[in-house]
Amino acid sequence: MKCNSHDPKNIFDLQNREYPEDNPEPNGKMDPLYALFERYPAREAVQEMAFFTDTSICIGCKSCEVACKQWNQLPVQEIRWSGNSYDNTYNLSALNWRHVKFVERFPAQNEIDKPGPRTVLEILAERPEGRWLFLSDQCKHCRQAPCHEACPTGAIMRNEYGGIYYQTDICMGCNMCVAACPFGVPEVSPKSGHSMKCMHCYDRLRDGLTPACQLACPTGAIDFGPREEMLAKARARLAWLLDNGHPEARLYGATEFEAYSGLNSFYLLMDSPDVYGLPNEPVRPLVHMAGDYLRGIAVLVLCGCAIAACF
Amino acid sequence: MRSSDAKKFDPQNALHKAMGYSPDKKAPAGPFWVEGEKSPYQVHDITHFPDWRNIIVWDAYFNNMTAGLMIISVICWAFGPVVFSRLMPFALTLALILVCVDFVLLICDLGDSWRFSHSMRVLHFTSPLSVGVWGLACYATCLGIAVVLYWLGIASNSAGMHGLSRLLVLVARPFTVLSFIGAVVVICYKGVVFSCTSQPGVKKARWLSPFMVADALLLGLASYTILAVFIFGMRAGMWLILPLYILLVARCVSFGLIWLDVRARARKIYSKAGNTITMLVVLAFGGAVPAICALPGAWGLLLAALLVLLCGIWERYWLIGLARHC
Repeated sequence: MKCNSHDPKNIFDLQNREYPEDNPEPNGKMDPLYALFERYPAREAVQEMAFFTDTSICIGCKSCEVACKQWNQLPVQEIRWSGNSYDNTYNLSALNWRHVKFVERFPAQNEIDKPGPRTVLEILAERPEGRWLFLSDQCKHCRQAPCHEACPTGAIMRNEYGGIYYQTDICMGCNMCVAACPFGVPEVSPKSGHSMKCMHCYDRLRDGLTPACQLACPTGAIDFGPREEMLAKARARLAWLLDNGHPEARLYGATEFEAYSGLNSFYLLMDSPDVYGLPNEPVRPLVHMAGDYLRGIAVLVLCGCAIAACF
Repeated sequence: MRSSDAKKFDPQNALHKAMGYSPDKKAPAGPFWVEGEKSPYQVHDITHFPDWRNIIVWDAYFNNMTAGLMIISVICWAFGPVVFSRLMPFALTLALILVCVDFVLLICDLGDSWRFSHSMRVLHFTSPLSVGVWGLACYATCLGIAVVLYWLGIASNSAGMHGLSRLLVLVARPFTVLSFIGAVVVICYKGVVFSCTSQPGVKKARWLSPFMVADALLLGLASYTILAVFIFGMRAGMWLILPLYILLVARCVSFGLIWLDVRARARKIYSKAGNTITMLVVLAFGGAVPAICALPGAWGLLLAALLVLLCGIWERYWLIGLARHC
């Protein structure tokens, strides 16, 4: 659609916007038989975008969860109390593409049993004893994503912004991405039978908008932008925290792990990753594949030769 | 949970109960919010359990059995006495039936079974399932053609058309070789599908693929033995005693290696008694007892084959159960 009245600076001017053509058909025709096997080439990479989540300023308000559900039209799940946390949505799932984790850490002795401070000055001088750790978790959009590698249908693709996108109209619900992900992100929806997870708000990005969760975050804990820019922000924030009495602060996923790629959604954590339910050292399953195949083939050859020698 | 659901019999739950699996028992008690204690997220598995239930266990079972049967049949046909050449059409037909059952299970296990064809539109070498599906499809197609040609050859031979019969059997041979190659892919990919994941337990099982291969060959040999004994009598079966011993040793050794890989997880998931029972089932009822039974021959060999087949079911429930969450 071409229209000269479109104002490129106005991101809300969607009606007059000129969109690149989706899936241009060669010669305007498509042979039905050819269409069965045709795969259009991937879009050219625009810019690698990344999320930077600063947990030190997250207040656990869950507005990112709500915004995600609202934008992606995800139904609400049954809310249950686990009995050991204020977290009532438990984990990322087919219906929870964002999940705020709550880690409440307090002294063993109940605060109520202790004598209360006498004056306001004493209250202010008192060292805070409890810690509330929050983490707004989501798909990590790994730079070498195991789900992408394990998908047998090609339903999982990397989009031009570096995000991992699930084409639910192709997914057959084989669970391989669920098994492959070391972070427990994708899940097959029991209703539709297809795998689902955070889509990086791809539709919004294509329209020049930022992801819904980032827009809804009231403290700026969720940031989104070009990866290099986000990395610079993360490193600057980490340096500030380390200089200001928070030696426990660390970055997670900004750089490569020993056996895993870097993440396109990295975090500034205030404790070790496993406290937040993140693997300390994730492993890419593919690193073992050649060895596993070879060991199997070796046993097959050995057994086959031994059996043949019996006759 | 509704009461009707609670009463519903689930073989996986029943077997895992026998193995001592109890998620409730493993749930840690006490206040997590105490500083220094583990956080609520540290005591649970991070990954999602990919809904590997009964159907996956039986899929792995029939998949291994058909591939093992095909490979054993071809080895016996190529290197064994002439009686095994006559057994070939029967063995291939059984392998075809088993692969059809496997295909049905594989498709039924999908979240959206109607979309199975989507896996045939691309071939991803980084995806063990993609490699396996293509291997399985090529294997089943070639095997189907070979079986049809073999039986047409037999039928034309009975009708007195000996020239045509010889030609059909000759044409069937390249398809048999092609399906053998497909069976090699099928037998190797199944273990990799489980071990190349991030699922607790199986992700560390570097010997899962060799174990599955050895076990698949053993399952194939057991079904081949039963077929040989029923069709050609005990004399045909006696040729298979030595291969049976070799594969029993291979399975026990590879199970030992896999136990070393997954013992920490197995102790976490199953009770001590459950793991001891599994050891007994694999090493005694699936190893030593069949070896002793096969010695006197005759019905002992059949009993040994049956024990091997039954043990294969237990092993798969135990192995796939390692990924169940605690």
